[in-house]
Amino acid sequence: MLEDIVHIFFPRTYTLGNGKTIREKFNIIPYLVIVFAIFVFFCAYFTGTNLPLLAERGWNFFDILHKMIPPNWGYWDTMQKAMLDTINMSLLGSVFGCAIALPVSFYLSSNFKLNKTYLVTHRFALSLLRTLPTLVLASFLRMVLGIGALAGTLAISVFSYTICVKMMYEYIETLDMGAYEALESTGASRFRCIWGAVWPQVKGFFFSTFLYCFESNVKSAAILGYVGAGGIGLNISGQLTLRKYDNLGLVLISMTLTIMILEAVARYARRKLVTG
Amino acid sequence: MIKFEHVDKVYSNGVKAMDDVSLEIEQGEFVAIIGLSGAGKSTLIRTINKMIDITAGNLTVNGTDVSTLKGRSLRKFRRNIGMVFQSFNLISRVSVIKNVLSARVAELSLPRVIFGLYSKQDKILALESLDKVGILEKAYNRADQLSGGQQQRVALARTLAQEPQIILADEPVAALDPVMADVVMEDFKRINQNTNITIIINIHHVDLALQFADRIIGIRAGKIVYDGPTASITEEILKGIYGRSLTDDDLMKEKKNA
Ligand SMILES: Nc1ncnc2c1ncn2[C@@H]1O[C@H](COP(=O)(O)OP(=O)(O)OP(=O)(O)O)[C@@H](O)[C@H]1O
Ligand SMILES: [Mg+2]
Repeated sequence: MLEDIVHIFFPRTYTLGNGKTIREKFNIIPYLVIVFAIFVFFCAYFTGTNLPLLAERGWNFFDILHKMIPPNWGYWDTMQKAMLDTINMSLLGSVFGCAIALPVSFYLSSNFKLNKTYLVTHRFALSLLRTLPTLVLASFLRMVLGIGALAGTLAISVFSYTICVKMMYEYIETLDMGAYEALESTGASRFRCIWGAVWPQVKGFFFSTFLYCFESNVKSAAILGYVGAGGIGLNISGQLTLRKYDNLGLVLISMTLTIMILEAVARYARRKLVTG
Repeated sequence: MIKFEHVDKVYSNGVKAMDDVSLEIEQGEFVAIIGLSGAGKSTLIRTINKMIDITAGNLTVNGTDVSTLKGRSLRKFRRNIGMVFQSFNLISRVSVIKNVLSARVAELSLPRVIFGLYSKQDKILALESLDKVGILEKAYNRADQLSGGQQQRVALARTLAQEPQIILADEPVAALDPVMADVVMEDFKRINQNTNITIIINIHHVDLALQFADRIIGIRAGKIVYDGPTASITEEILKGIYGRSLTDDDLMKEKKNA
């Protein structure tokens, strides 16, 4: 038992009855698990020092929460316009981002054996882009494009694009290419093979990825207002500095409800897409 | 006619999968290619529609030099050659009829392909193809919910809907149980007799090859070691192809009189 555990880290060489020897393949995963465990331990250790502070100040949170109730319904008109803006930004951004992501993700999947250099460089550019939080991107775009929903929409498009492309090409790479090969053998062009054999297999996943982007974009669009990129975040930061907690209460309640409704719709649509 | 003249195939890793292969196959023949795993059966069959390139020699199909084909001319050439695979290679999540119709994707205009608009003739052709392999009533089922044998017959129907002159089949019954294997082989046989389509089947179950094919090609380490009518196959010849006596693994059904 103990010996077997030790040999998880140190590959053995086996000798068969007939004298043949086979060396076990070295596996890096166990080492990674240990490094990760140590890392998690240290994280917990360092944040742990802040726990007393949280206990002390945490109550302020409930204090503010209390002031939000009852919400100020007089603020409804202003709020619902901003809310619609937020939803529009997210929807538009998700549609743009995912629509462009779709064809590109086929180009970036290694199973179609397209241009290798292009594949590697584009993937690298994407991972760079992904390191940029939407918020940073939005503040940058706002400087270029000025305050308003355009900067936010564009930031959301870029974010959706990077996420959707990555999810898609990773999914496409797990697909069985048999159907593609079958169409290829009938003399169909590459586009027709993809459209006829691969698209039917990925379309459910694509729409569900799109819905996922849309959902999470509504949430992040709420923050984008903080940097002046349009949407309901503008109102949240504004009302917070003015200490109009009852207005803030209305915004938060509406946001919660909106997101819950969107999630329910998305869940329903996804189920229809996957089974239908 | 398919004509190999001193054809070699050397893979990029140096493996010689075809070694000086020469043979002629006439229109309408039913040929089985047998040999051990790794002998080069799949390689041989896939050079015919240029899914794999040959590295030396000459290969012509109905007078066309296959090695010169590329792009549009290659795709046009492939329309006349159907292919059936061991793992069926159907489009999952899609109905049987749509799978069969996908054989028309190479022929149709682009808008029709994009919107999936198949003409009435195409649909009738697809349904007739399904009827020929006896699973017409499954047309509107989802393909991935059928049994293995039924899936392979859908694949066969798809190939028929392509209206090919040649059908290449790479281990089409290896994934099936003996009963379904027989049914699918019967389908191939009937199609060959009724339509004069050339059928070339890779098969590692010797008994099925002997039962259904008119001609056997035996290969070993990339070389043709036997090529002749099924009737003149002997135990000795099989030993030459396999390099050993036959075992139960080489047969689809248990040996009855051994
Ligand atoms: N893409 C490839 N690259 C390199 N070598 C290959 C490739 N495909 C096949 N080979 C090698 O070529 C030889 C013939 O392979 P092939 O697949 O044609 O055999 P087969 O007779 O079809 O075997 P099986 O019955 O197992 O399907 C084998 O040694 C195989 O390892
Ligand atoms: Mg093979």
